[in-house]
Amino acid sequence: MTRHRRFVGLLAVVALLLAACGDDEAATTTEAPATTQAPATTAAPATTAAPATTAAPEPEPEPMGASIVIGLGTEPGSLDPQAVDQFAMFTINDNVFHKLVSRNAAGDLVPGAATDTGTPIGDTTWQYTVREGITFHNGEPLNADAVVHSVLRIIDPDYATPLKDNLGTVVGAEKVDEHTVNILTSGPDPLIPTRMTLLYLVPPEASQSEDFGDNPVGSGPYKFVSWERGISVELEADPDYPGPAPSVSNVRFLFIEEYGTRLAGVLNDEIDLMVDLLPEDNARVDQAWSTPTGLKQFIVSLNARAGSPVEDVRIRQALNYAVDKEAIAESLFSGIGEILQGQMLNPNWFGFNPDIDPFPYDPDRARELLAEAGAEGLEIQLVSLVGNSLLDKETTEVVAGYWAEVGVNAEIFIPEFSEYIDRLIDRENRPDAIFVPHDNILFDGDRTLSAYYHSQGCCGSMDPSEADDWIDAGRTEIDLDARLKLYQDVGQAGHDGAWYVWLISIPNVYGGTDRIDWSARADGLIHVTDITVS
Amino acid sequence: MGRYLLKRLSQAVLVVISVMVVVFVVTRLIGDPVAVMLPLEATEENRALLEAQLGLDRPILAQLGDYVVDAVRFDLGDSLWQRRPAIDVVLERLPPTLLLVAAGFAFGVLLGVVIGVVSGMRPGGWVDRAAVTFGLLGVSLPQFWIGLVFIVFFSVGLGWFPTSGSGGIEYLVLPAVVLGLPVVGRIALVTRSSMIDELNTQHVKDATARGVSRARIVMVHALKGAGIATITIAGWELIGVLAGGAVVVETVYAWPGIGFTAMQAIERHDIILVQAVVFVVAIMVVTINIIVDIAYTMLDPRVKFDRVS
Repeated sequence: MTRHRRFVGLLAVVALLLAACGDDEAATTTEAPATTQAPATTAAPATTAAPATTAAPEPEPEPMGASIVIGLGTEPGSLDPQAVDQFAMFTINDNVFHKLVSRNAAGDLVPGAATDTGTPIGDTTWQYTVREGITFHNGEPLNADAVVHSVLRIIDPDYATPLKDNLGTVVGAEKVDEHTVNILTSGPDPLIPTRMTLLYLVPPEASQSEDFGDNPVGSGPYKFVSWERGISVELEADPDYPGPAPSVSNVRFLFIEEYGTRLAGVLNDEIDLMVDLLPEDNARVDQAWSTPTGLKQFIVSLNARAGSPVEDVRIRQALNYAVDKEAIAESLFSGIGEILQGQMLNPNWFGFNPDIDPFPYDPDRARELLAEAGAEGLEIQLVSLVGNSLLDKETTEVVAGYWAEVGVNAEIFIPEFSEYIDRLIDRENRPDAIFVPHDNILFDGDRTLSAYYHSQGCCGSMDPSEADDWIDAGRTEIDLDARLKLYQDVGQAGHDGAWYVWLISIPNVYGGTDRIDWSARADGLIHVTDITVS
Repeated sequence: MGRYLLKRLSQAVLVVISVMVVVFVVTRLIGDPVAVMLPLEATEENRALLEAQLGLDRPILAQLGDYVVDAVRFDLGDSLWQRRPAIDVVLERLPPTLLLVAAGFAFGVLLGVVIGVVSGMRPGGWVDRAAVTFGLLGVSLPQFWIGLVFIVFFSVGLGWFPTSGSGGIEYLVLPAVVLGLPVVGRIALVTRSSMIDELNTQHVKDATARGVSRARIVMVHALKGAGIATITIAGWELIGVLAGGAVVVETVYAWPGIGFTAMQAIERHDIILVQAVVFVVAIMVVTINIIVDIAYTMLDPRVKFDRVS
């Protein structure tokens, strides 16, 4: 009997709840006067917990500057700046840590914690002088010891970090005096200044802690405040950092993987700046930005080796002439893509050759060349991938469509991602054609050319040639002009051999509210110091 | 009851172990985490090095053996993505999921039962037709889509709720409602048809003849009979919400629970973390099953423990 009564009572509660759900606004307004004290007390913790999302105009009595929210698409696994190769980690930590060498907004190398970008001493040593007066947020000094510690930590095999690869030839570091340090390499390495842009300097004491990845301690303009796993990371401007105080005193990086939700956050003014805006949504947000040049290069690798169905250079040229790259950039990418200049290197990467012209769109010329080569009705396989880069599969389909128009039938094959990788790096059996989204965080031709223009590189599909020697020579050529010449020659050789179909270069695109004033950097990172809030 | 519980518990342990073995083998057969962790152009040497560091280069049976030995000690390995114990990651994300699932499930069951009872009382009436339509919509609309529509309508349009994230109760409303909608639909439909059946049974007709009030007949006599079907389906719904709906809804609303974590782990080919999520969810699913079975016997003495098993 009592059980029944309880059940009836429960139903009554449900009915009440239902009535409340039926009109949310009515429910909240009736609730407010009933509990005059309660709303104030519940509202207070809500605003302190999420000051940025609620955008309270004056949450603190003496606000140093504004608070902003940045919406990222992924969450880093660790905030130890030497532990993981994840773009979200770089985006956050570039505000927290120093590097010996940095990049300016245009992408050029500039001194970071060092006084210059480095001086080679002999064949295997680069010397750096650390600027005086930089301290980590926990008080440890950023000196030669800290640099030595940072280098040894990242190259330690037991530490097992995927970032070690970026340091290439570096085998050690030694202190010369309190502020001078030598970076030691296994051989001549002209890329050391570039490599130093990927070495975050960590405090020797704090970085030995087990939870350094959860509580990073840097020396940059912002210091780490908190990390709510799965939700956000919060940073605040370091009041002791030299120079004028930045406009933004507090920043929260929110992790929202679902694109539509992130976009809604911007439309609802909860997020001031979001990454990876789709080009078709440019008009929906208050402001959209893109990096001055593309960061991801879309190309199709063609198998130029003897015995391949596209071994004849005329066929490979025809496959280039057949594709309307401008149409891809304009239609598929709503105008944000730039055409690659007949080479894989971007104009702001070291080694770019300004004398190479892209293949124009000329389907008639393509048909002629195919006829000359006796390759009408050619059938090849085109390997590609999906969901790795913006519109990757769609781009592949468009390319296959253009090829079909000149009489080349490409069967598109999209395997699971690790199978795709296996095919991309298979030295023995090169695919006839494989679509590749390539980026190069070093901004230097060495990595790209070694991988794609060298017959022994991971992903090269050509027979050995002089270009192999030039790439090898460039790797140890300290003289900048000589090295540039080598890379430009390699670029020309690749173009002459039509080793690839060079498509377009895709910039990073951001969206935001009109509350902030900002411009995108060439490296795609977000420096909160660059943001001003109106 | 003690023997029955023991039997069910040992079966549950077997189920969890089987699930873990299947997941272990499947995650290793499809997708190589190393491929995702390194740049496209990483050398074969570097790939091999990382593979060895992660212990993925050893025979799968050897890996499985170690895994089982460690799992018994509750050590499920380090997440490849977060570089810390995977079980810590999952346990940390468990409370937000439990909160969301509890809210969404409670909303779903309560509203579903009310709609089912009301519409079952007068089948064919306009209330019933509206309720059935609503129920079918709840069941058939994809949560992913409805989640985004709610954000656009209630957050961006009306500004009633934040678009995503977690914090106060205002963050919970939209995801809980979206998570609960299919539950409302199915519970309503099942309760409705059970109610119609019950209202036509002899004991209800007898009670009516005795002059028992309509409200009492519906609330006490009919609903009690209909309750068993509802509880069965509610048990299934809870499992569905936990193991399926939470993944979708948490992803859409960036809710920091284990569903969102599962999605993140899968995207990053973090097989260790995927296993840990499955492990914890599997334990919860078998537990719910046992609880549902016990609940039957409480409601209906005709169901005996040994017969259920």
